[in-house]
Amino acid sequence: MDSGSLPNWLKGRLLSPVRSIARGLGSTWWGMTVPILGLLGMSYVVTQHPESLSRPIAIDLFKLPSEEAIPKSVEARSIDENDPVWRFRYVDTGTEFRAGIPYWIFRIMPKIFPEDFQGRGYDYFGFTEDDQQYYRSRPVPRGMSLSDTSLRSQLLQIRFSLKRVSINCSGCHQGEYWDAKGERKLQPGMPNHSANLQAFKQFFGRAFQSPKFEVGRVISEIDAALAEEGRPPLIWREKLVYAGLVQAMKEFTKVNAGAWMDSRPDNGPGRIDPFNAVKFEVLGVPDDHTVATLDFPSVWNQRPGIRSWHHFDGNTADSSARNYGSVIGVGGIATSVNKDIVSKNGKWLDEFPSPKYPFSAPDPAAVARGTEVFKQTCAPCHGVFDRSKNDLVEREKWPLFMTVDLAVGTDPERWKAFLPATAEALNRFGFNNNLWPRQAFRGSADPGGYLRGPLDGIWARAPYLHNGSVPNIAELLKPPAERVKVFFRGNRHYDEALLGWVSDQPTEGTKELFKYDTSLIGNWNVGHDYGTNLNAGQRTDLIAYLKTL
Amino acid sequence: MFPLLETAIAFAAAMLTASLLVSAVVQAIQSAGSYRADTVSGLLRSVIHGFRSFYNDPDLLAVDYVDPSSSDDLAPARGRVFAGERAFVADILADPTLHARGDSLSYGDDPAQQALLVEYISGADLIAIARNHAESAPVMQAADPVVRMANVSSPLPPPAESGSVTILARPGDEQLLLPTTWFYPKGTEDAVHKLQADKPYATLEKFAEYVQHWFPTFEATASQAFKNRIRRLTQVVACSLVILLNIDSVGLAVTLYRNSGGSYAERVPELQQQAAHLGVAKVDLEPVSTESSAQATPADPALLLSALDDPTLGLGWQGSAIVDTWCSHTGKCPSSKVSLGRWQTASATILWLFGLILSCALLSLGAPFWYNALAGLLNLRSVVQTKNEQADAIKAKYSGPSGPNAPRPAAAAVAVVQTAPPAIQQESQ
Repeated sequence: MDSGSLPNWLKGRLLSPVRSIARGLGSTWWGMTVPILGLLGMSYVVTQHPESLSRPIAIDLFKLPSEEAIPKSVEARSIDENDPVWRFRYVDTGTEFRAGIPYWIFRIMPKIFPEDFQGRGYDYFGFTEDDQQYYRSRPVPRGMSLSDTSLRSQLLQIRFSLKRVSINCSGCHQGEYWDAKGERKLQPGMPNHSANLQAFKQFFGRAFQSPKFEVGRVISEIDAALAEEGRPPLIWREKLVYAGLVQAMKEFTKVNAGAWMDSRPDNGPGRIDPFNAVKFEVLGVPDDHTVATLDFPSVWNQRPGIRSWHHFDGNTADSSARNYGSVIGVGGIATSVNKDIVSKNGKWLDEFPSPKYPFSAPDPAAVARGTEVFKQTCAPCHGVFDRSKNDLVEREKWPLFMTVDLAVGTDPERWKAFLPATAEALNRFGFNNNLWPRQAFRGSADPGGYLRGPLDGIWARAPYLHNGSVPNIAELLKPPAERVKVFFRGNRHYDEALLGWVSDQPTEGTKELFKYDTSLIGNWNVGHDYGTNLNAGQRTDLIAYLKTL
Repeated sequence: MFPLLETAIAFAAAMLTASLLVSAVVQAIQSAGSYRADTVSGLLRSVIHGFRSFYNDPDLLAVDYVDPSSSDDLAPARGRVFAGERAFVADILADPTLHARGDSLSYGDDPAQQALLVEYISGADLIAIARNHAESAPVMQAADPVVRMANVSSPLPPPAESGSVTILARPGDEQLLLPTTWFYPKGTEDAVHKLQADKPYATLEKFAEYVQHWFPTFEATASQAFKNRIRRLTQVVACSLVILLNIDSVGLAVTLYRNSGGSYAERVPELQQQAAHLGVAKVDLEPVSTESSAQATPADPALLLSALDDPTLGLGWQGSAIVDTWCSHTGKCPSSKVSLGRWQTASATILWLFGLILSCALLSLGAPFWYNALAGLLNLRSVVQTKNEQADAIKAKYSGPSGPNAPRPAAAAVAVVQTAPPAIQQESQ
């Protein structure tokens, strides 16, 4: 057989039988060949290189040298990846794909916009430096993770080797305070009452649209940052990547998705409006003008045995809805949610106990008296939490526990923002995107109210009420009309007498604090007039008891 | 309640999801490739070709019935015939009668682009448009129609005296010549006289007669060809999707059975909506209703893909059972701990290949099949449930406790209310 007859031979020996078979099956030769070649190709990969299909597809962008130049975290101890606290503090939850900032851009922003940071870096937004429990140094502040950008669907898992800085669980749920010795403490599970997530988000939206944020400036600042690390400047393909990223960020923020926030009072530190963020930015629901801003909640003792319903209005009993919904609320997309890590965090938090009161121990006699006051005044709604058992006791006595209090009378904006139509839209979104069951959320009654929940770790949950409108317990025990109208949020010093963060000072050191005005919509400090008729002694005793929870 | 039935329902729902995705892709390809317009073009070429062939046009016969002993190069003659057919198709499909003003503005005078917009034409429309062209031809009528027509006898039966068919023919049609460009596309000297002399059948009357008689046949043939084309495309897309997403129907059935169907059947309402949007039951060559197309909501392939992404189905390659098997067999993956033997690996692989081929065949059945299958299974579940409930009621009636201590229906209802989660009973203080 000479080479000239090869096509004819192929045609006769190979194509003709294929054609005959294809015709017999009602198909064509190409209709048979395409799938067969695909099957053979995939069979080869499965049998010869199964390892390539056992992990996410890595898109390494030709191994950008600048990615290698990102300063490494210096471990202060050996890291165990199964350590739940480490996982909670440092592992990404899946917000990096849509809301993450590429590391080098994150790093140079204070240089390009010094007036927005007032010389304090990301500390200005409350994202302070990490403590040294796990790392002696990290390239990003606490509450943030640094990770490759990943998509994690069942059908396809892809990892782009471009590290982004993003908020993880600890960004909202790890609090910071000065202890009795004047040392800075970080407490997992506690509301991050000093971080201003809204200002952080709004800054980037504004900055990316600024003329100062342009390719030439970004590249020269990154080169300068690389020089600080003793690394060479960006090479041409990196410059192309960053030129594309700058353009993409400008495009992405051209339509200000967060514009709805402009018509509402500022959140200030320790607060967020996650449901409206999801409604307007993810579900595309028309603006209903509700102001559903709420205090970051504590996330300890989340198990159904203690908290059978979640969120301030008790809109779900499903932990996947609560956990994955939180990731979506701070910028994750359905296919980016790190379900494995988020679920592990959720399971750990189910049992994670509330932190013990870290300041001077209360007087036992006052605690004993306060216990009785509590049982008469507060327990019917909040139940009795026993720290030694890390559980509720005498449940049968408190039938109202974990039910919605329609008469609480506190600011109505939060429940107004989650009526049945919204619940239905969110259910559809979560179900269609394999995030939570179809009936995971329930809408509020109208008029609605808020959940009567347990008070474990109540000392660390100040300011109080769902919108954080009352700075301390002493204020909460006053009639609503007598409560402080304006106070300052974000102080990390604790007021032991009043049981709450110091709130009457406009600054903490040189740091300017957020002025909270209770007259603004969504900020009202009305309602919850339970316990307001106690005398001074009873109030003091009750506060002593609450310190033990 | 009925694990096998629940599994079957979930399996049918999963297959419907994949089939709908296949349909969406096929529709996208069909739309991008202008398959319908292409079919209409083919239909019209068949009509003009058949018309010329029917009247033994010598130019056409020379091309269609090739003398094996002849060494003549037929390419030029074939080119002329084809060019004439293309001119005919372009004239008909680019006719302003078939286009809205917006189309004309968008595509100017480009007949090829305008032709792509026409997805249906009836025989009556075809004759009407041919009449327009015949009437606007340079020469309106033959000089001596009696002489011209003398040698042409019509082999067609006379038109019916009544009914819609007769309105297609009009007095005077026998004097109207068809445009010369349909027969001499590259132009020729004195084309009209040449047409009269060489092709005396080329009048509107003969053309109308021919269309009246043969158009339904051509239409049915074109429709069948279109369906075959779509079916073949569906097969290719279905099998490609099976390979792309590793849809192993055996593995899928086993996974669903282990979970008693899981919650996948909850997706049925969305799937039914998507099926409606995709019009899975209508794949033949039918006119597109303006009203229905205005109201139609587009299908959402992302939603279908997301439904296939459901972890309870276990589709995809990464971390799939077959990959785990080969990881275990070869020991190449960092996570593989157990080493699988040759026979275990071989049997798992054969079953997997069988599963893929089966999926390919099952998806080739098309979305309408799975839509109906799912509906049937849901009906069956409803019937079985009803019968079970009836049987339980009868059993309770005859074997339940009796006497003064037996619970009354009202008491049972109270018991149900009392066991509801306390938080649902929203109470005001």
